[in-house]
Amino acid sequence: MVLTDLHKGETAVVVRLAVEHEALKQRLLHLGVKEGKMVRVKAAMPFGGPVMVEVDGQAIGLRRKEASSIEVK
Amino acid sequence: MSYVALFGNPNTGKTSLFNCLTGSYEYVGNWSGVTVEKKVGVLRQHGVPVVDLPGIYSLQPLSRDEGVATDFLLTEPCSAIVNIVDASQLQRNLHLTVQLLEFGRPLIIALNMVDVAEKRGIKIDAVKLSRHLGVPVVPVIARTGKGAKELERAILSAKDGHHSRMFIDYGVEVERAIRRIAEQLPDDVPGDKRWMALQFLEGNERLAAYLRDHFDLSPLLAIRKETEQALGCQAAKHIYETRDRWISETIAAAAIEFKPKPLTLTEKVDAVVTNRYVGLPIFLALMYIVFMLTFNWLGTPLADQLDTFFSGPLTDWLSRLLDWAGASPFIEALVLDGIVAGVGGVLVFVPQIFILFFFISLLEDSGYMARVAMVMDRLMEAIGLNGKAFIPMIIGFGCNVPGVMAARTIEQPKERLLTMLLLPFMSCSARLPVYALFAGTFFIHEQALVVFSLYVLGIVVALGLAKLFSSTVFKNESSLFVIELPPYRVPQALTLWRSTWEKGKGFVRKAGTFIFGGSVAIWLLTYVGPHGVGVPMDDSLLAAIGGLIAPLLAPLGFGAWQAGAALITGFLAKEVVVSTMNIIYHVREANGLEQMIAAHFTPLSALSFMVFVLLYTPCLATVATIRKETGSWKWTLLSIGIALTVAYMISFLVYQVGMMFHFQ
Amino acid sequence: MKGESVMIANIIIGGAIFVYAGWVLVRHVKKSAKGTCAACHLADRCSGSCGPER
Repeated sequence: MVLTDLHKGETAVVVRLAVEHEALKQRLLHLGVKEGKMVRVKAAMPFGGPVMVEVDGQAIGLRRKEASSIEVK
Repeated sequence: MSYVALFGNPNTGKTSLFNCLTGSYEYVGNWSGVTVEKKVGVLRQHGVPVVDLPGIYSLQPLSRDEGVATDFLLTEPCSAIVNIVDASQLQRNLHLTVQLLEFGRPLIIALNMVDVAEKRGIKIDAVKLSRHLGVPVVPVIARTGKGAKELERAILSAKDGHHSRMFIDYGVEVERAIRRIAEQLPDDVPGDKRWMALQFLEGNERLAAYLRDHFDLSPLLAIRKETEQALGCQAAKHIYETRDRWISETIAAAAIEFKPKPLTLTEKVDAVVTNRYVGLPIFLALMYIVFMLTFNWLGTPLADQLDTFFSGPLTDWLSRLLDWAGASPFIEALVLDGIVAGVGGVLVFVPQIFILFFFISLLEDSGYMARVAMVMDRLMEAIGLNGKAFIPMIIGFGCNVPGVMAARTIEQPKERLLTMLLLPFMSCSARLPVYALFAGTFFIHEQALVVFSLYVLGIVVALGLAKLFSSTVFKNESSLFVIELPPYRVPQALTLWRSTWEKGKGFVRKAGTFIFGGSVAIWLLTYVGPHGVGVPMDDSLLAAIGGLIAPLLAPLGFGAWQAGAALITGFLAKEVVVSTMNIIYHVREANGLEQMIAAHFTPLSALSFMVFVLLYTPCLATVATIRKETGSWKWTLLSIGIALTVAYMISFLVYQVGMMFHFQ
Repeated sequence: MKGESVMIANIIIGGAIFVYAGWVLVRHVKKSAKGTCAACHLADRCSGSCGPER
């Protein structure tokens, strides 16, 4: 399952950060998105826009394409 | 000179703290990336220089502003480091702390946002944390300045003293690599050799570039490769994970978690403003209300009163004073027709400018800014930019110069360049007097709507060109977007007023300096002609200059020399367009100006003129900033060229199409 | 006597205006051309280098 499969308000644990873009992966790690972390989907923008997720009480906006390369369970 | 440097993650309150410590009024806001440059101040009463740096998550920069912080460590001496730590995000904040501790300078931790942490259910024991990290930890509330005195004392006693003996064991392979790299490093490197070796192993590009200037890197690269083979993964990953474990232990020892209360305000507000369906409409509606307030409901009535004062009592009083001093008609004309008309004509718009700045400050301070970036991202992605580019654009509504600078937070070089090139289409506050004057004369009842459309036109043109460029010149470059969304804060009245004043002050100051000078020069140009002095205005030098480009502007509906002259002077600063118009059309009686303008323009040509002023060229200061930030004349000239071309085309369209439909 | 003092007053007022105007104009153009952000609200206190990427 990937992050974008979650519905609004659902929580899951990050299994793998399969993000291709190295800089983006770094940034996500800096923000605390890493293996073993609980993430919660807070909102999704329309027309395939970014999703808003919460990690450690911190809200982060990222694009659907990248969110779909974050595997969760 | 040896600095005390402020380091910390983005949006943790470094600049707020800097302002408390140094008594400065630097620009603060509630989003990541407010500070994009280093700012220098002096610790009150102690003469110790303090430097505020852009926020970073790690010493490996991913964007231009982050590079500023890393460069500082590599090139400037610092006597102590103050690390501002967001208590509510301890885990990720401490990743930076560890790297700073390894750097090996005296370090003081300012533990900020303890209140937010407690709301989130985390209580931190500063004493235990201090013992674990081996450095002083001072709890502060940067927004109110609480704890600043204690922090100051801690800085003064730690400065130039010992640094922490904190040591993380990275395992056999990495430790061996650290030793081998450290042996190769020259003795005069900044910071601890162990720090440098670790940063190199992590793949810090900035540091590698720095070392490459001093010696050949190939032996070090070989060590890194060997180590990574032995580890079976990237050294950076291994180091990150080791640190992360160490940090978890530290937090376990120093923080107590209890049941968190939900962040009700942020959750509730976010449920509305980032809603799938109403998020974007809400943003547009808010913007529209801002414009109504600025132009219709509040700003214009105030401006009218100011105008009545300038053209009535002030002019009378000055003219009596000049009579009493026995001033000659020349001096009297200079003061009343030149300075009062030119400077006063711009100053009357102070109410509108301050109202607009107030709302920009409110946007910046509340935490909504980052949400706007997220809401806009889908649209921005479609045109080859990302949502973060929208933040410089909003700042650009105040002034294009800090807007261009703010583009530094955009990670991708292509997106950053594009944002800088198109930023001049954002209608800055200097253009506002032009709209207020013309829309106030020709579109009295639709003033807010007309001005709002102009702002939107600026955005639409910028986005349209972005699409054009990203599908031609910058094809095949990837785009990325990730943004932190800070908790909302109820803005404090004092902070809000201060940041409004700091922005508006520049405008008032400019009226007293540059616009004053410009008005005198322009008036002189209207007074002196090629064939003598004291000539009728149509035979003046200004008329001759304006007349040169007037024929070019005729197809746009304003082919008189007056418009040409005003536009030329506007390149120096756009407010001067209004000053020039005021001086040219000046009649010493109330409402004279609007009647004069009504005689020279039609509503259609006024609209076309406003569109032209919106788009035609960035002012001198913006041009210079684009030049500095892009480091290229080619892009800078392109930016000017595009602006002139687009302005001409769109104004032409507006006027000619309007004429076709007999709209006057 | 009165004519002289009036003339002196004129010269002083006019001179002050022109000298000040010239000074601020030159300063503004120099400052903006340097790109030290003359138009920006941080102008006075901004000690940033505003330099291009090294």
